[in-house]
Amino acid sequence: MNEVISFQGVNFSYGKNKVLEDITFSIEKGDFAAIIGPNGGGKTTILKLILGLIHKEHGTLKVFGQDPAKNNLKIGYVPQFSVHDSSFPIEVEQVVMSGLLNSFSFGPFYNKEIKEKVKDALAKLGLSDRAKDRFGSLSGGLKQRTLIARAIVSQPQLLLLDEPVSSVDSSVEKDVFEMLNEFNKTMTIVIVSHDIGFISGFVNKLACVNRTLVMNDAKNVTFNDIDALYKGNKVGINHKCGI
Amino acid sequence: MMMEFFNAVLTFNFLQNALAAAFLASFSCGISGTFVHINRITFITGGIAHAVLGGVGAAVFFGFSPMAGAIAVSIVFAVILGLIRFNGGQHEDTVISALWGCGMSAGIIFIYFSPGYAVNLSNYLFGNILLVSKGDLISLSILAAVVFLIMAVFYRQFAAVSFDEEYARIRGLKSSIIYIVMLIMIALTIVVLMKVVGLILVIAFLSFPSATASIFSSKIPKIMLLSFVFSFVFSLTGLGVSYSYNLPTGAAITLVAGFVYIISIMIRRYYEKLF
Repeated sequence: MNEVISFQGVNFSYGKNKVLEDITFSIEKGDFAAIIGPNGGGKTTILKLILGLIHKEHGTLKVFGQDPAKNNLKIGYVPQFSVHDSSFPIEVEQVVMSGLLNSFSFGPFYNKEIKEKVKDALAKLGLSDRAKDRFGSLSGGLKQRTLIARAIVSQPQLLLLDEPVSSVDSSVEKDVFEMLNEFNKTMTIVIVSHDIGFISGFVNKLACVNRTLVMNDAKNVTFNDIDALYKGNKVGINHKCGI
Repeated sequence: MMMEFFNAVLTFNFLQNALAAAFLASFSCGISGTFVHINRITFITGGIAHAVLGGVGAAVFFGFSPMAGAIAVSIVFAVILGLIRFNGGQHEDTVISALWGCGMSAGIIFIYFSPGYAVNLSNYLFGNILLVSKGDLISLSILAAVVFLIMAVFYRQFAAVSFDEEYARIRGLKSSIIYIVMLIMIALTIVVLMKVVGLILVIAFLSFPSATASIFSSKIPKIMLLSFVFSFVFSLTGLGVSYSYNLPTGAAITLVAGFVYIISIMIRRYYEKLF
């Protein structure tokens, strides 16, 4: 089965506020897809629907061919810039370990196999020498790397990232996308962003969302589409993928 | 003065019992206080602590064991407050305040209609560590063991839900159930502490040692251990001061804990400025 995520006519509202309307798109195995759109356009809501944190009102939504949340252990998730309490007493290593927790994780200790996996994930993200640092004391970029390490430590088949570079400078942004490009060799990636800049050079599929889906193909996006999505004055830039 | 106290401990049974109770309370406090501190749930904890008086009052009135009443009501309120935390929305604070006030008021009215009203009420509100019996010590030991067992089994899940509740849910953890189990652990600790510092001072005693410990460490297990050590030292010192100057024990212990906490903050601020 190649279809990882499938939205068919999905609607969602927060109370009386309609956030998503008639959303239809699919993500295939191996895709590096981006969901872009203005703030409040429903991008994060799409990720929360995929994770089963909230539930659709109408339409059909399948993740790995099943209802959302049934296969969450196959998914790695990087939330929007860390809203974690910076005084919380937890080390980088322990944050990453929590990416391997499941409902049967009883007892106070982690086994050797888990420790090895965490060591590997920290090494991949260049955090080996930060393993014992307090998470709250890290810079925005290092916190983001830690959260990515937590998401990939379970070697997920699908990696969801919500604005992973919103709190880092452009040099770190480039590093993050190059790293994601590497991960894309073994996992399907869906990234949410309000900035089409760096994304355009890496993704093969694009969903532009502003309550409804404006278009769903990276190759056919035109300046007019972006204008329709964001409204108002825009500056056109040519990107690698032709956008 | 403190030497006199230590000599008295070697002589009097009631002081030995008091020290044993303080040890058991400190042990439970080290575990639960840490989770109260890192989750910043002092208000919910206060709600459970004060509502427990309703169970104590009902038990006294109907002739049951006050500790059994306290355990039953603390667990019920922990479950209710846990559910409110996840489903209460914007009204969470109001509902907790209502349960806090109603539970305590019901307790006061029950105790008012029971024989020996004044003595009983004072004991539960301000603690009666000097009146702890051998039977009480057995009950406190069992409660402390249950608190330890809950922590040992659920430690990783408690830490995960405390740090990032949403991510824990994504990983398949039943966050609301884990949160309620954590509140039950805290509720049982409150029952243990009721004997030592009384229900009114429970919040302070659950907060000060773990807050002081977190100044010196940034790891949850170390905070638990330090918090346990601090709790016992505060209890011992408070007990000594109370014995020497004939002061209410629960209040003396809490004041010692508060004093050390303030001094610790000042020392940390001084060193932060220095380096």
